[in-house]
Amino acid sequence: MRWVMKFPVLLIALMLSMAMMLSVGATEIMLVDLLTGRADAVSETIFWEIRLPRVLLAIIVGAGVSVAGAVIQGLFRNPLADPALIGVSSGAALFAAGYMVLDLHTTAFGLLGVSGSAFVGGLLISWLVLEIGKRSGTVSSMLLAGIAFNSIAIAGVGLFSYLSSDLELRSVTFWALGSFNGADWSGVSIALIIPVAIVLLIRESKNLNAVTLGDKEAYYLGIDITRLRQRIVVLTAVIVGVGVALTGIVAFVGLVVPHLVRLTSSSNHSVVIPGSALLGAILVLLADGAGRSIIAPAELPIGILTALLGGPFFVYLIMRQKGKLGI
Amino acid sequence: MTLKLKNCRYGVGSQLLLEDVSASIPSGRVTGILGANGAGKTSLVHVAAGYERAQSGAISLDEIDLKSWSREEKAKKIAVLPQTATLDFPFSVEEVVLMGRIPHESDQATNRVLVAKVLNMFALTDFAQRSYTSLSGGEKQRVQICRVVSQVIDDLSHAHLLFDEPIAPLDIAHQVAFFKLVRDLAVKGAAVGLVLHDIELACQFCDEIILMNEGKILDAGKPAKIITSDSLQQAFDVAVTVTQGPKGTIQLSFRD
Repeated sequence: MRWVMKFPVLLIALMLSMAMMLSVGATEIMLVDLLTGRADAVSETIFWEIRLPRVLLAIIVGAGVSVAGAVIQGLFRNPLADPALIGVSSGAALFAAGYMVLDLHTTAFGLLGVSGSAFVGGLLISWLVLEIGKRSGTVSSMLLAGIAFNSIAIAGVGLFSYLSSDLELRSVTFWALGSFNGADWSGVSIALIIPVAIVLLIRESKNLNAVTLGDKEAYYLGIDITRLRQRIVVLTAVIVGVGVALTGIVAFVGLVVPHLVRLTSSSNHSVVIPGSALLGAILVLLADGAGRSIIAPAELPIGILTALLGGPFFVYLIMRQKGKLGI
Repeated sequence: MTLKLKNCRYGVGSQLLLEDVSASIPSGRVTGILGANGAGKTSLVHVAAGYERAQSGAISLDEIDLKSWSREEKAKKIAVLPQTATLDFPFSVEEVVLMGRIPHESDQATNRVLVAKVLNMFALTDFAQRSYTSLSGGEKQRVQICRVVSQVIDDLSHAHLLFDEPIAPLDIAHQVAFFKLVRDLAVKGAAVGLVLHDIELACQFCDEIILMNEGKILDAGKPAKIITSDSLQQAFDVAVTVTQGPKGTIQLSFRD
């Protein structure tokens, strides 16, 4: 399966998936018609205003959450780690749910909106986790702090769901399950910070490789662990915070995608990070396509699909690759 | 080209781990660091290499205060293998050893040549593409040793190599191969420091011995001078007769 993970193969697969996802949907759009100017006005509007931003957002967010997973696994030296471990997703969910249920749009928070609140929540919780980790100085204490904050945030989301009205509960739930339904150009332009963060993370590949050896080992290779940890957590929080803010939680992608890349090509982060970005973009794009086709014209939230497909596949990988993952 | 500690004191919380320690790991020599569990051997290594900060005293690398060396420059001169190396990702053996080249600006082609050379030194050439996580404990240790050696292989005359209990997971043949490897590196100018538990092997392969007890240096010097029934009684609290053999070898017989 090694050949599948070659970059050119992944790039071509991404292009093909993109072309397919731009065409299919409630309205079939022939890309050839569009390119040759033979498409009608409705198709053009659907293409430019709805489908293209949605596809671009799926690509960017898919790439982002996968890269976030890859670097968090490296930083925690644990192939089972997930960006959720630094509390960013649950922090974002907590603030978004709080915003919706407490009717904060009438207060100063109204300026932030649901997405802005989610972003702030994600950053705030991961900053707390990072601070606690910094004080005790070890990666494991950061991990434990992450678990604690996750539980608190999830309990908070539960509490808000309990307090919410039926209508609010529906939006909290739908948002927590993830969807690219609201994608527009303003969302895409905000999401452009994600590729920037990915490029910055690719530049940390060597350092991340060293960190997998251990804190002492990385120190003796000349790496400032504390600073590196800060950079990784902040960049991850930006990626996941923006991603969750715009599209809700896309589950399991950050865990499964880097795994697939490691199992089929290399553990070297200079391969794992770009490989995860490409594969994550493809898988989320296809999952979004499936989500809007399976029960069309209704939509299945993408988070449900990614977890339903990703979960069993992950179990299968663990069983098949016993011993090779080093868990 | 010597790594020197002068009157160093280091502790964690209220526990004093090193007390008034002065020692040196000189270039061209293999120095064995011996002592009972908790004697301060590992602390000595981490304080000497800068991972842990001494609360008082001075550490110098090539006669310059260790604190004035930048992190990157220090990593080009001091390579350390800590006691427990854990790596849970299926990197290839070559990729793991290549990590030793991280402090250097040398290009990937040069690095691969150097890594191939180091793997060959420890008979690991055939393992280069194997997955690290599929290796046995002893094989993993050999890979880690190669990684540490590759960190300083291009300038051995300025190299300081510190290994914390490097031979524990190795079989006897690879223990001997390891000592031959580090002796060869010392001949080429490297300063080598080894935390060891095997006193007989230490006497046979080390030029100098630092004997530690309860955070202090009990004695330091040539093995034949340092390792005696009395010093071992003091350091390890065991009754042992030391019999001198040919070429600096010794034999220990334990008494009731």
